[in-house]
Amino acid sequence: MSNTTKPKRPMLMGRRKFLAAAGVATAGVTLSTLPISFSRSAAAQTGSRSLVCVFLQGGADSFNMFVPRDHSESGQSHAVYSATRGRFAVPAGSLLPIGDGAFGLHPGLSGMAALANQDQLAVVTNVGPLARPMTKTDYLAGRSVPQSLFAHDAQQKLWQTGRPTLASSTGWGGAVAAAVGGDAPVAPSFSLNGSNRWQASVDAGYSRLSPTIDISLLDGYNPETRDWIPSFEGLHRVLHDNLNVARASQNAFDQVAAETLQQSILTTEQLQSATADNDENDVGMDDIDGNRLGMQLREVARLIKNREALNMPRQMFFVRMGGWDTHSDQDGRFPALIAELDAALVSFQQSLATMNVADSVTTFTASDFGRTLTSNGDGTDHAWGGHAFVLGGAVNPGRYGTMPDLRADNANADDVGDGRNNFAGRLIPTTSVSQHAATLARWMGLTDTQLATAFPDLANFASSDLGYL
Amino acid sequence: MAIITWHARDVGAVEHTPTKANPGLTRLSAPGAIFRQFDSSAALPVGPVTASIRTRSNFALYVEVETAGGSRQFKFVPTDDRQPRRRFGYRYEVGAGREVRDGNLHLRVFDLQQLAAAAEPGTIITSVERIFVRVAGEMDVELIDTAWAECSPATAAVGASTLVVSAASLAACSPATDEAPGTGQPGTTTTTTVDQAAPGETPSDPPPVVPVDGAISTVEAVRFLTQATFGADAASIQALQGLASYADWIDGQLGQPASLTLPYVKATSNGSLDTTRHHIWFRNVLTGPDQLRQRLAFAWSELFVISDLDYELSNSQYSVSHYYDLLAEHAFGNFRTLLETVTLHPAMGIFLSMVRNEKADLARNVRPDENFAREVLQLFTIGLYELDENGEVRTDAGQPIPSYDQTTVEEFAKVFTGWTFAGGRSWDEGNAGFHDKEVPMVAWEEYHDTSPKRLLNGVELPAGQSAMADLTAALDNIFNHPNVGPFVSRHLIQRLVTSNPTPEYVGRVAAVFNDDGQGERGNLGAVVKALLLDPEARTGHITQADSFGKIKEPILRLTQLYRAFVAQPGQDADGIYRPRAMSVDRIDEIVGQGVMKSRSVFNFFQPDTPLRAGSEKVAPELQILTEINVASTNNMLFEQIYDFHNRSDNSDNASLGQISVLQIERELALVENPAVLVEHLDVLLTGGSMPEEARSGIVRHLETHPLDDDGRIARVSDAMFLVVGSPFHLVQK
Repeated sequence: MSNTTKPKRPMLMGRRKFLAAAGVATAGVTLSTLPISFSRSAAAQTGSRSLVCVFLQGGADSFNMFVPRDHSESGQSHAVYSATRGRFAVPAGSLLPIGDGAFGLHPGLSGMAALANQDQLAVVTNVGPLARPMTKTDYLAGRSVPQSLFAHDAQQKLWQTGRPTLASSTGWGGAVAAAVGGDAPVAPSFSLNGSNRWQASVDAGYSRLSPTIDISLLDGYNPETRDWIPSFEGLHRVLHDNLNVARASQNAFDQVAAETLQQSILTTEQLQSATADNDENDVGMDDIDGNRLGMQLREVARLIKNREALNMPRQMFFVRMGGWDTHSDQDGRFPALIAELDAALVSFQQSLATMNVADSVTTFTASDFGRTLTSNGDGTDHAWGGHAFVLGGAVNPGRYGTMPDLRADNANADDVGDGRNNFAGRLIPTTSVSQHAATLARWMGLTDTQLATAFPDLANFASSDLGYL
Repeated sequence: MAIITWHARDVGAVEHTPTKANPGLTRLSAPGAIFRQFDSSAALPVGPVTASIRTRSNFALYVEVETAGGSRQFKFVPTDDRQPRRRFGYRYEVGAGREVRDGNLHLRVFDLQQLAAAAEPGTIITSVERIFVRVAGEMDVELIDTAWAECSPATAAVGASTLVVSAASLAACSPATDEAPGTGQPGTTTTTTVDQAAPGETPSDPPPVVPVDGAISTVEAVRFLTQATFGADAASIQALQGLASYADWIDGQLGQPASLTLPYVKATSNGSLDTTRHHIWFRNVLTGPDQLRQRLAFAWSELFVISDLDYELSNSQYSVSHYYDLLAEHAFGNFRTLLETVTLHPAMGIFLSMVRNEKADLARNVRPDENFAREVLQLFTIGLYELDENGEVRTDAGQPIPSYDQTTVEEFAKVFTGWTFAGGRSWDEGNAGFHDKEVPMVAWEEYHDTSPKRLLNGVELPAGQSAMADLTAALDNIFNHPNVGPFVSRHLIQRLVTSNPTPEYVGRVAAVFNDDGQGERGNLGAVVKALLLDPEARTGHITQADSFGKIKEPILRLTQLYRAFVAQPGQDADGIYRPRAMSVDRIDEIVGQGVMKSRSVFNFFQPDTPLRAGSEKVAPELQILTEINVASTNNMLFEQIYDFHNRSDNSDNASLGQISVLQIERELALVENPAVLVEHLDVLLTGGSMPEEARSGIVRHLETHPLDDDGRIARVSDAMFLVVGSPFHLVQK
């Protein structure tokens, strides 16, 4: 199949439809021809909105999460998929049909399948970092190839910055927080799993919280530390005085150490009550103890529950689940990973529904990269494009973007192999991360001008709105 | 009737200081803050808790209860705010009245159920689990060892200084009363006398660490030892200052054999839990004579990363411990040897899935596993981009030049095929046991890819070579890549000395890597020596005052504190060092790191983490200084300093006896001159980096404490925390 017309028309479906209509997808229709009604304008936004990034750290084998079933497009059928994936192919009979059944989800994703059939799931196929629409010819000639492909950290950063090079130390989540984050004392941007590039921003910080450690105020710095001991008043004062001394130091590390302590003091004070595990913050999800991702999402749900109290009409969340780098024992590891993912996402959506906020919270998955369609005997290796999920009540359900050619063939135009008999199933993305990210950022309220600043390469693509929101 | 029994054994050997006025009482007189727990022999039924208190000191009384909604804790504090306030989700804070510390006897009766319901509507208390007290200074306690039949408020002998904690059936008690001294009756109360404990050994007072001149000044000695060890202490400072030069010290360290972890791990576990590996690691880095070797082993473990968060490695602790010991043994050897040792180690084989990596089978769409091939290039040796010898990235038209591409990775993946665990009878065997992964992996030639391979810099391996021949040639190829010197030098400089070394500094160290002067490439002892003796390491804090230094790895803040104050394991800790009554393998939950416990092969933090968003300067360690970890690390150090030193007494409580104890006699001898005390601590803990303004603020605060017993302890504890809790202790310069 030809790759010269990329980006191809994304599949845009009505409710309850994951149509077997990939033939249309190759017709070269651009996104700009889509009905405007599917692109909800930022101006129409009212009420609070929260965006949740679920980062599948390590490179998730998403080609085995969303799989052709009755889909008959040449090079994309289940038979082709099955031949290429070999021992890791999911049998057609075990796939959970969604929409019209052209595609199905891995049997371990039963909760996600149920969400799909409640019109709460969109799938963006074969998305990844791109500088511009790219063909195999471009790739082999080294034209506009994104930086340091196939390396974990580099590709995480490209996903999180929405750019094709590593030049930016700030992310597109941070850009959203800076643009629409409001003026609460702490930025409305939270990570439940450590530092990341996505939320880094010069103008808006983010708070790195823990799903397992309750927030404690800083002893000594907190005026109530041992407040039955009068001398602690003096201690508290000297500690704070010396923060200022350090901030005035000529040494950059003294300064940043003081800033780090001050940020911790502020964050713990501001967020302690909103994150406490108590009745006021009950969000359900009692079933999720022990689920690493679910416990992070429970904390997210608490902060969403408190978003009005915190004066945060826009919130950005980052949660992360490791273990997806399945170079070995994929048979053992992958089912456990998706079971954990499925349980966490379903419990989270249930919690949001109970709180009546499902329409104002959108959750999306992202990962370093997709994995090779072929195996290394026991697992799979680093690749490039992959499928991504978008969940929530605001989602227009369906399949978006273009399905790639899955044939195990050196001539496969979607594969990066150079013809030396080295087909691996490392697929060139057919939709750019920047298009995907811009769609989400627009839903959060960014204007076209702000989008153009956040995603400098967006103009290289036919559309900045994939239509699923 | 409710039965409450407080046994004398719950108190243990506290210091008993009968006074003339109160000969029968037990005085809790641990100077400074103490924390004392009275465990009841069984959970108590719910009823009013009465606290009869007379003390000139400050206290907080805690009662832990179970409710239908989980554990809750009452905290009674000497304030006038009688309204229960809910805090942290689980705590009800209740004022007991400010006057309870006025020196007179007061009786307070609290209805727990009523307070709980006021703080958290609907809560039902099901039992009282334990009662304990924190106190500063001293407090006299009258212990009740009896059934409490009637709720007589008169529980104290006339004139006694008492704290009486008890619970009674709900119906029996009258509301809170405030009794004047002398109206009490003996009632059913008896007083338990506790035998006097033997007075503790007073350690001989070591001299303060204050600047002295000489070949190596004290400040410079501390700076050097902070870079090269797990923390400066008086002994190591003295030893260094007794030598003619830093080089002499390094030479001595290069000859120190490695303190090992594996023998201890084998003696204490079956290899399926990482707990004892952390026990021995802390002991080695705190007390081992091979400080430089241990510091390097830790730095190598952050380059050649494995992590037992990996499930299979978590069950292979003998292998993981063995791997770490090899990093220590090879720490000063040749890099090529270290690289091969790591490559063929079964723990690395598991972690980056080189074990059982097999040649391609095109019929099944199977290719070699690229995991180790990619990471050995990207993370262990050469990095993503071509480097000049000074570590600067080479660019072409403004873009960094990749040092290899995907094809290179695929070629190296073929090299690393054909290896599996030693001792197996088949290719697939050898995974089950915990104990068989302490010898290098072995080659099975039929699984090795024998096609020709094109490596770095145009080097080609011919077809038909054995697995070992290919591996040897490939590791030679990597080792001889010009990136290795600057790449490895920069890593070590960032771990030990400074986050943003100048290109000149990297270049000088890399030059030694490339040739140690005797024609040897990769001589790591020479590299370590060069990087520590480099003028930038020794004087960068002066010559580059704006940008020199680094954020300390948080686990090193703890080891530095422990070494500076010659911490001893808690009396009930079986020789194990820990800062909390918890399993120390969970230290990462507090500080964000634990040896060989990173979340991926990318270590706890990445070398390019910006100092601030948008900054060109880097501060890798900031990646794990999350808002939560900054708070939990601060609080761990706070509790350590205030509650666990050799003048605090936690002898009655087995769980508190788990925590390591700081030795503060040296500091107590300095309290009459706060300026000297602060200078001493600044030198010892920050290498003298606190500005005068910061130190003088601390001195003024210390002077507010009287020079009585409590005040002396308070001066030491406050001074220590005002240094350790300050931003200056987060930084190494």
